[in-house]
Amino acid sequence: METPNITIEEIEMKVIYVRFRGSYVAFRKNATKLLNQLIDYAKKYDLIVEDWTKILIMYHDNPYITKDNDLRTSVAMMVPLDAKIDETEDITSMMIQGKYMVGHFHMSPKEYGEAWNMMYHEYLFKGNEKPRDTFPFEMYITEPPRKFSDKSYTDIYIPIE
Amino acid sequence: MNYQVLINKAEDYIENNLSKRIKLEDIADAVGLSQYHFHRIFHTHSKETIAQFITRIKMERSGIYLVVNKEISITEIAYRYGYCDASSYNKAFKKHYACSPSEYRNRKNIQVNE
Repeated sequence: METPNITIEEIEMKVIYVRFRGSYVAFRKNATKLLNQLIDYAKKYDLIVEDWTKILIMYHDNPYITKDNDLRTSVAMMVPLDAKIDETEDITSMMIQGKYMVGHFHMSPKEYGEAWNMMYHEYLFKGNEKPRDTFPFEMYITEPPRKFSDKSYTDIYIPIE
Repeated sequence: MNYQVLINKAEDYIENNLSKRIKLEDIADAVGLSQYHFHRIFHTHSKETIAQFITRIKMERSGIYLVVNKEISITEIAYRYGYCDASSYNKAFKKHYACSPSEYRNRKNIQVNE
């Protein structure tokens, strides 16, 4: 795996999201459907900003602690801070704020697990930053490839104090 | 607002207020419903009551926190997760994990170091 560039960033971001409850295996089976639901909503309300809008996946629970059936994962999309959101179609909005350690990766889908481990074990636990108790997330900078071995740009955001 | 959005908003409120003693009325206020109406919706569409959900999330999150932040005392962690003292936190923790926070911290340390 290529060595990621690591940055510390203070962010304020508004997102719309659809939340899934269940195992990560079940989530992966439903991810495309959830993403399409989000995109349809964003198109309907004209929320997509070309070359700016990004898709995120937020991991609300720790799979080593929470039971598979209780895991919550959200597919989210950045929207402008002043966007008015009509929360009537299973779509919820929220703000994501605070300080994050961000790993900027160029990797293939098969390397995601290794990238997450690297963020926690190589950069967070061995560094000077303290973890903050909120959810981490992935942000897709370029579209993830269809082939398992092809690469794309993905940022991993780990909340820190 | 449909029930799924209400549950999401309630969960987000809880996530953002883990350090407080969260009451049903606070969550109901945050999602704009009466306590009765909110409690009924949550219980109908979730396998847990709101109180069970709050306790589980606090236990899971504090469990991670105490393993990752080994230098922080159990008493401080109790306060961080909205418990008024270490004793009530210990009691809730033992009920959830069947061991004390200190035992859990030591046990997980061993797993991490193996």
